[in-house]
Amino acid sequence: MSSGPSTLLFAFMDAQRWRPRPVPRKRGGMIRLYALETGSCEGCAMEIAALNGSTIPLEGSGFQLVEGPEEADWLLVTGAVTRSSASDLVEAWQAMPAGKSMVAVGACALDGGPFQADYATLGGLEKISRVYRTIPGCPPSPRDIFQALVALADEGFS
Amino acid sequence: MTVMTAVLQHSERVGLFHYRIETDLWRALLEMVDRTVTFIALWVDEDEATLLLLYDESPILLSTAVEKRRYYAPSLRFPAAQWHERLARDLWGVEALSARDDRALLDDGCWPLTWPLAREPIPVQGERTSPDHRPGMVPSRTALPGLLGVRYEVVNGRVEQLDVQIAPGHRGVLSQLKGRTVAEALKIISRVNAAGFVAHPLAFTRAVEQAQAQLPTPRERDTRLILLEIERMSVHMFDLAQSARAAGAELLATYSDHMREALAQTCEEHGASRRLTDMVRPLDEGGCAISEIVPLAQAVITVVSVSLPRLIGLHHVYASRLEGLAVLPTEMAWAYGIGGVAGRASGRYVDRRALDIGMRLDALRSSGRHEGCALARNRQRLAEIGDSITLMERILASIGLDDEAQAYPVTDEGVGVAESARGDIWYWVTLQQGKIQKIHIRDPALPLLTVLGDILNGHKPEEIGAALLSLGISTAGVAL
Repeated sequence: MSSGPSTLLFAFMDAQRWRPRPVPRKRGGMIRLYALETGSCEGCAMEIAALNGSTIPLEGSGFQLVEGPEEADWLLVTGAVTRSSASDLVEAWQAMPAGKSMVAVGACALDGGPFQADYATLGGLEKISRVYRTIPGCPPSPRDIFQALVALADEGFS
Repeated sequence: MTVMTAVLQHSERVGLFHYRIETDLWRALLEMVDRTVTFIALWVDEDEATLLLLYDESPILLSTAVEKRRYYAPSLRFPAAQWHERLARDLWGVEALSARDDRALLDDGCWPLTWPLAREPIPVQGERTSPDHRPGMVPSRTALPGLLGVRYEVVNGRVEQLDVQIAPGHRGVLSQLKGRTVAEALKIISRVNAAGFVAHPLAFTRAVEQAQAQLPTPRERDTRLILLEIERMSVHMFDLAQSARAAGAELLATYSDHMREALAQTCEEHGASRRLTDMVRPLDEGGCAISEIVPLAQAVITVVSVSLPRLIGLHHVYASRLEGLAVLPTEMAWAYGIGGVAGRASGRYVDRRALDIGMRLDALRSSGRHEGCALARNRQRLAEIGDSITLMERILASIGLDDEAQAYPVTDEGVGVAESARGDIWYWVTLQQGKIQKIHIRDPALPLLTVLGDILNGHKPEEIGAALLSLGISTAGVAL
C-alpha cells in the first residue's frame, strides 16, 4: 500500500465523502457538554469518545465537548456513581455555571445498571439526585446519544 | 529437576491443576529462580493465597494458607504480584509480608467498610484520605474513557515519580458475584470491561465449563472465536483512533472511526449487538446469542478488507508522530508478563489464542515487534487486524471442524482464559451447587498498570495523555 501523497489524497476524499451532515436544531445556540465517568465498564464513556469522533456531526449541530465543568452547560454522566467518584460529581456540578443541566447516559448512570448499590457503589444518579433526563442503553450508540441530545435541545431542556 | 517439579512433588493435589503447599515450601519457591515458570496472577482471601502460574505453558494453581491474615509476598520473586497484593489487602485485609509496595490501591477512605470482602468487615465513617496535591490528572480528567488518575513530580520539565490512581473505578464486582448462579454472574461479568464485552464473559464461561465438565460443540467453539476476532478489530480501531487523534493525526483517526462504526453497523445488521454485548451465553442456555455467524463473519471480512490497506497507508504517513513515545522495554514486558498489543510490540510475543482448542494456527502470522513504543503498538494493532481477517477466513473454510477436545471430570473448579484485544484475561471459579463460591479475575491491564510509572517517567507532562491512549489502558477490569 502506498503511503505517499495519493494515500493522503484518497483518504482526504473519503473523509469528505463521509463527513456527516449537521442536524439543524430548532432552537438555542452552542451547548457545551462535559462528560464525567463515575465507575462502570467504560462502555458509555467509549461511546462518548466516539461521539466526539468523525462519524457524528456533533459540533456542526451546535454541541461541543469541553474539557472542564466550569465551561459546560450540560453534564453528561456515565457510570454507576461509585462512592469514591461521588465527590468528583458534586465538584463538577458545583463548578458549572448557572443554567446547568444533567443527563444520565446509559443504564449505569440512571440506576446502577448491573452494579447494585453496595459498599463501593451508590447505584446511579437516581439514588442521589434528581435526574433531569436520561439516555437509555447499555451502552447507547453514539448516534443514540446524539439524537437524544438534539431532541433535548429542541425541547428547550435546561 | 526444576524447582517447580520439586515443589509439586511435595504438595497436596486438591484439584485438577491445583496444589496446596506448606508455608515453608511457599517461601522456598519465592526464593528460587525457575525460568520454566511464568507468573499470571495472585489471588488472596482470608484463607489462602493462590498463585496462578504457567508451567510449561499449562496453568497451575498453587495455594498456601494465610495465617493470622499474613502470607509471604510473592512480589519478592514475581514483581508483577505487587498490585495483586495491594488489592487483596484493601479488600480482604490480608498482609503480604516483605511486600515491595503496601500502599492502599482501592480503598481511598470513601467506603463505609474496611476490608469489605472479609468475613467480618469493619464499619467505618467513610471519608476520603488526604488527596495527593502533586501535579497530574485526576481520574475523571485524563484522556482515557475510564477512571485512571496520575500524580507526579515535574523535574526539569519531565515527569518523575509517577503514581497511578484507580480507586474511583471500584464497583464491588467481586462481592456482587459471590453466591450468584452462573447466568446471574454472567450478566455482571458481561459488563466488567467494555474492551472485553466478548472476551471477559468468554474467559468466565470457559472456567465454568471446565468446572462442570462441559465442552462446546465445534460450531459453538468457532462462533466464539469469530466473535472474539470481531471484538479484537473493533477495540484495535478504537485505540488507533484515540492515539492518532492525540497525536494530531486527524485523518488517521477519522479513518479508524469510520471503520469501527462500519463494523458496529455490520454486526447490528446481521443479528448481533453493535459492540457484541451479551453475545456469549452459557451452553445451558443454548450458547452464543447469534443464529447465523457465517453471514456476519463474511460481511465483516468484506467491510474491513476494503478499508484496511488505506488505513495502513495512512498510518505510514503519520508514523513519525508516535515514534519513541511511551516505550515499554522488552525486559520489563517479560518480567511483568505483559501481554496483548503492549507486550507483543515490546518483543514478548505471547498469544494465548495459540493454545485455544480449534485455533487455526496458520492464521496467526504477525510475529510482533520489539521497539515497544506507541508506533510499534499501532503497527502491531494493524497487523493483528489483518490476522483477524485471515483467521476468520480460515474458520469459515472449515467451520465446525471436529477436534479431539475432551472434557475434564466435574470438579466444580475451573480456570478459563481468553485472549482479548488488550491481552489475556483469566478467571478462576469455584462453584457450589451451581452457584459462585469463589471467583477471581485477572485483567491484562493489571501488569501494565504496575509498570506505568516506569513507562511514563521522563516524558513531558503534555505527552502523558497521548502516551496513555497509545497503551490502550482500561482500569475497569482491574478496579472491578
